[in-house]
Amino acid sequence: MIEVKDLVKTFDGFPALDGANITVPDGGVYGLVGPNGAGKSTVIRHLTGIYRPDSGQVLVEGEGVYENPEKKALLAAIPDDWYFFPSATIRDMMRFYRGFYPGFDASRYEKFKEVFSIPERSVIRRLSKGMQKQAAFWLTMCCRPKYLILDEPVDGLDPVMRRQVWSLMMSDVTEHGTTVLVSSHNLRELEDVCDHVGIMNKGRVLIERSLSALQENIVKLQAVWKPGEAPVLPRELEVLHTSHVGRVYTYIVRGKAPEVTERLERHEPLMLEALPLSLEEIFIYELGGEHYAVKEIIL
Amino acid sequence: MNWEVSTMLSKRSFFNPVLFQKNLTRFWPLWGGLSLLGSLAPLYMLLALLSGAGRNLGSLDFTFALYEVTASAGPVVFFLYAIICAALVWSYLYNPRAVGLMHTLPAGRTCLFVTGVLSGLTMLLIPCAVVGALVCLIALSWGFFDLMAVANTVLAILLLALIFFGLATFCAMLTGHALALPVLYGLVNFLAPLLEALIVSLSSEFLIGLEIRSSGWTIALSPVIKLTESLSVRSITELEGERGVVTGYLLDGFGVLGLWGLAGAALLGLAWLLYRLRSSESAGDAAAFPWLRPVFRYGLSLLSALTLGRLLYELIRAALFLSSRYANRAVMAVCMALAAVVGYYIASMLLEKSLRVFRGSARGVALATAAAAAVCLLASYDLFGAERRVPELEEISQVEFYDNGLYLLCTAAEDPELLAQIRDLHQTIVADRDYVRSAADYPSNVPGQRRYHSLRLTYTLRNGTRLKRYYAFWVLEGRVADPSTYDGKLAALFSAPQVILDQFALQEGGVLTGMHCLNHYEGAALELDGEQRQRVYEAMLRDAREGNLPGRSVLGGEPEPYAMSIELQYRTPAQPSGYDYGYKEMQVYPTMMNTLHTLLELELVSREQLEQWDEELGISSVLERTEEGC
Repeated sequence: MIEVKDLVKTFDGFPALDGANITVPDGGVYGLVGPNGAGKSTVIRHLTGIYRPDSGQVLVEGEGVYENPEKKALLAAIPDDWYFFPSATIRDMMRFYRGFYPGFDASRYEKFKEVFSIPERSVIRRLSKGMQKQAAFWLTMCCRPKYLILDEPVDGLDPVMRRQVWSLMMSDVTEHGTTVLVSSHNLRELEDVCDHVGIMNKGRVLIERSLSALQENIVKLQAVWKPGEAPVLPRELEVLHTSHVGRVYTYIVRGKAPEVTERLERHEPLMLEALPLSLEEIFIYELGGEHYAVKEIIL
Repeated sequence: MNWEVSTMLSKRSFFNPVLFQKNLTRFWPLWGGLSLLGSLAPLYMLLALLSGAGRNLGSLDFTFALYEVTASAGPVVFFLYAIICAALVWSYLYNPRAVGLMHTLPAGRTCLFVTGVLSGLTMLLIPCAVVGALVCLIALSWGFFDLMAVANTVLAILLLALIFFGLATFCAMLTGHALALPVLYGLVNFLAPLLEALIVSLSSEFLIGLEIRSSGWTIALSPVIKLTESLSVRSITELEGERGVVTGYLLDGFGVLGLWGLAGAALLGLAWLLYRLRSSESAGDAAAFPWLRPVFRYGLSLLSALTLGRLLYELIRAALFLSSRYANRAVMAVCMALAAVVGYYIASMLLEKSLRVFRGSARGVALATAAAAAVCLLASYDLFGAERRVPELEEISQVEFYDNGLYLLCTAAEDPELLAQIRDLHQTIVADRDYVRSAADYPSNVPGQRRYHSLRLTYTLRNGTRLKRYYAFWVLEGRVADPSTYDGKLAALFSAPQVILDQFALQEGGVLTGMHCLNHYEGAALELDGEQRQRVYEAMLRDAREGNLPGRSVLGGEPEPYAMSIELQYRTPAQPSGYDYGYKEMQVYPTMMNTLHTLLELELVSREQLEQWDEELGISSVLERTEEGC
């Protein structure tokens, strides 16, 4: 299990992390989402042992990860700006990784030659951005990490390769119990793979739940009222957002769908329907309360 | 799990062979190219031996070549090459992406550091090993191999590598910017003598006598200068008849090398501590630690004040026609304060990587300005008594005097009177310091003759330290007549019999080994045999005793000599290291009756020649005078 407890990190007085708390359970896919500058990459750099915390703890299996080679050997990471030596080929980098990671699987490296159809003797610097990303996946997944940490992992990959890569990772999760922590802005994609989600903003984790719990706790209702009779909703309902098109009103309300529906039905709408929220919508409406709503800008 | 991985996963693992190998293979063009370039020397040696040109080479030549290359080229080559190796090995610390990769790897900082140090040292030593091995192979094949010389050279090279790579690694840990590293390394290597020279130079704008040269203790803090000075080849000479024969060579300077070697090791230790403390996020920053930022900011501000401030003052001096050699204290303080502000903002811009550094800088700027002005004021007042310092007679072991071509070396044991006379002159100059300052400009409104003098005094004190002073002043005819002025004392010193004698006389225990009579008119050089040289030398001594040798004049205008001189070759008394050889040349003047008489007797000069020279000089016939004199 990966645990981040009260993590604080400041850069020249700017608090990049302000008491972040994260718990990543074993054997699942954890999605770390948040707006730009929320502190996701900073958390990841702490998890991989690059940054030393100002205060707080970053634990892997109960032990601090900073300056702990034994725990770092359980982790492998693909940052959004993966580094390779300037004149290195994929094979050179494979030898380098093999020299550091105890679980490096050479046979897997050979098998992946067919999956990632890049010549292993290509100089990585000369490959396209997408191919460099593929090379990063190729090498990182051969390390057979127990914890795979990814920052914007599929940026630059074409749709087929995205699917291929996710499929490989999910098979590692199911077959080997690999734990994946992934930070991404592509919420649509995360929704398909994550079982836990943490939403970050301004250096803190606002919400951390399983995706299903998150979706159960917020509901989108569409209601049609009699003309001129749109009611004032009861105060005890925590309405995150209201909008309407003609007589069709849309409410985003925090709470369980049956309870919220039952409360609104008391106002006798002409039509009332509860709809599931996508992760993207949850992200937008949860952060709306944090003054991070989409602004209506008229140019 | 392969063996490399199994050995390094422990928290106590100190070395990673894969990283070591990677470092060497990544940068092979550097050490490979240098090895190839260096191999040209043994190749040249081999070709020379094969062609027969080097058939007379022996183990002494081999020893000398090894020592000479180590002593003369070693410090500079290692100074330059070490920073290149360090910059390459630690290059990942300056790139946020690279540092991300390296610090994500399952290896501790100690492991990365030790591996980096060993990689760098290996890169540094490979070319030496290649060249050394080839030279040794050739020497073995031709039978002039000297094991002790090789062992000494290897030890010296290992220490040089440790010193300069240790220093370069220490600097590498202090900064997060690739371009800042060589600048910092260069600065650290020369900082102490540079600062001393700048401060003394500033003081000499206000005070008299200060010599703008770095002293021993600041030089000792500059490894490249100190080692270049200290490492030398000493020949062991034994006397065979009258000739010294070299029987061996020694590489001097192992003491300094050893001390700096310890410093290099200590710097590596410090660098390791710094590496453990430094943050990965400092990659790209000029200063890798927050506590370094004020040091950098105020340090650059001070350097700017001492350099740019002086330059600004010179511009103002030229613009305002301030002609005095000595500076105006207030104007200098303002110039330095302005330059300090410039330095402060440049440092801030480099630290912040932005041009917007002005907001909120008032306190820092005020501090930098005040510090620069304070340095100027401190340097301008003789707070430490440097200007007033004249060593007591009992303190002095010897003094070297050099002024307008006159060089004297006086020791307390052999020349106490002359030494006291020189010290008295020094004392008088110091007492007259206000006059020296006020009369620094060309004395155009003073009647009579004048001459500019540059007097350099170097005292060696009994406690082993040296005191150097330099004075530049005008000597005026009107003051020469007054024996209480420094002009008068300098004139007395110039014409002192011992000073005249010193021009050619050998010191006690010295041996005359040769003499030539040089006729500049005919371009001829006659070699004198043992008896002839003794007679001429004794005649010259008689002339000196009888006052026939003209003294030097502090105001210039010495008498014209004949187009003839006597060159004396001599051997100094025995020293612990063997013998030193030298020569002196004495012009022949028409007043040197005894010498001229002897030269005529020995037919080293003809009567006709002397008559011709007399005619040319427009003086009465020397022949008549010589006959009268004899």
